[in-house]
Amino acid sequence: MVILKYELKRHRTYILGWTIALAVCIFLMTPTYYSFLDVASVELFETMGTTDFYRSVGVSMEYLTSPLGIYGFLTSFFMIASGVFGMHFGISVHTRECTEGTSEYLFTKPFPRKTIYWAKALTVLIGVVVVGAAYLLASFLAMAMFRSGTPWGEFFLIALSLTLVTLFFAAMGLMVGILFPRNRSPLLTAGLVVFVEYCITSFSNIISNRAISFLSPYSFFGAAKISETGFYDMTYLGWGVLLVTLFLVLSYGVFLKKDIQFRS
Amino acid sequence: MSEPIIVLEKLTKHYGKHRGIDGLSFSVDQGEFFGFIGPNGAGKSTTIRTLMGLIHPSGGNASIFGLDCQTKASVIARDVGYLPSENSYYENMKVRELLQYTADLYGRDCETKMYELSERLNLDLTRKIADLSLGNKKKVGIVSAIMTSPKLLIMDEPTSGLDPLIQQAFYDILKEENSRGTTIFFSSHVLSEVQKLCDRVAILKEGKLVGIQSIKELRESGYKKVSITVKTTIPRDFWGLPGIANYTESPDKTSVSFMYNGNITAIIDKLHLLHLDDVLLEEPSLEEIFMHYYE
Repeated sequence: MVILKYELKRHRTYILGWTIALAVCIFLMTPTYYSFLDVASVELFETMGTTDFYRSVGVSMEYLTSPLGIYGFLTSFFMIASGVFGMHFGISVHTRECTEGTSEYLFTKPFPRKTIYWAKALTVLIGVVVVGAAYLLASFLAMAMFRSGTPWGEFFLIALSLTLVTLFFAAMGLMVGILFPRNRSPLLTAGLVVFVEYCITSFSNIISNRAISFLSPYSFFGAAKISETGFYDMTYLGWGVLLVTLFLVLSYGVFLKKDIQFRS
Repeated sequence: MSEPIIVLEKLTKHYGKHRGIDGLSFSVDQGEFFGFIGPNGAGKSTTIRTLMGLIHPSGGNASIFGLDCQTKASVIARDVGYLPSENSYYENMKVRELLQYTADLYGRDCETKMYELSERLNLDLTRKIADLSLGNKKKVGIVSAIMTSPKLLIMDEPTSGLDPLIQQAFYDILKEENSRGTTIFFSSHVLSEVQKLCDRVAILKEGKLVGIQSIKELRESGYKKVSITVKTTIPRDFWGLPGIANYTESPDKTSVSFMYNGNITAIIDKLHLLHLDDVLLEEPSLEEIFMHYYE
């Protein structure tokens, strides 16, 4: 608990920054995009909705004009930002000890490595939950204030999918941070990985290849699919849980056995 | 005889093809002030980091308080104060916050000792770590290591960056801790401080243990430093005595100095044959003895 308390204190501003940024953005952008939907002509949507761009993000014209369409569309982009946050947080919570030279301080205190691992993992989890909860709350407020007739069950699933994607990248980040503790550019790493993952989903949507879609968490939580079926795809969900478990087990095993890396 | 607190048995660490330490075996007794000297890159920090369970040995083993340093590192850490050679702490914290973090990690109330040590070392607790100089960061590490009143202090190059006045205050603190029964493992390449403080010293060279001796024995090893100035030149083959080492002479060969480990009467007999200007027979410094080891 001591390490968790200090880790949270250490990353408080960082978590708060991302929380406010995502919450404010979704709150402001949701009514803006819905007002755009209200004034746009049907012809425009028919033209736009059939382009490869919309296929790549997994939405159609019908979905865009549905009550949750714009929100799902926006959330698919916010997932990029939250993915970067999750992965960056997961990586840097470990690499900072090495790059800032504090590992010799922390790892020589009377706590086993497993306690340190779980304290750091829990810090990241709390960060992800806080960001996700704020996003959900801001989304709820925006929809409740500016959009009537929202199907709240599906809305909740779409909003929650942002947290789940963030969690996926956070677990991946923990693994990357432990495997490469000397990484001095965690933000660049996170940005690149998230971008590649997003491109994989876009690519799999365009060529309609389900096998490729299993390589990216963005495919697991398509807003249009959620609206269509009323729940997450259980195959994707199971696969996602399996991957997250794998990341955690691997990172935990390596963390317990690996030599601590030092700045010099 | 006191119980050994630290025991190293053929401790070896290699970083791929690079040498770290090779087959180190020695022990440190309870209450001892033990020096660990060697030049940069000799393997001092590697040894210490292995003792602290930060890195895993390639061979051999090490124990502290009879517990294995790899499997019981966190249990051992309860009674160990560690000062790393690197002075890096959480930059966004204030000094007081960091020291409180240390106290919380050990689950001890160290406030009185924290204030006492900070005052003696002239450390400002209200400043942010990021704003501290190298020397002040070192002070933070010293206070953090000692304030929990550990049974064993492991200090890796503790005086680098400290000014002479603070160094003296630090030596006094260490002596007091040692007199209270704290075992101190003190790594340094500054030989004069090891000479001043330690009971025994282990000398490390290229990852291997060159020797381990008490400071007293080291000094009594019989070496004398002889410096002579004469009116005429001294031929190189003049001495013809065994036990002469580190022989140096001035370009005009009127001044020579060397280390001598042999019958002192034989040297004095030889000196009678010279037209002396000046003679100096003195105890060599530990540094000079140490350099002799390194030849």
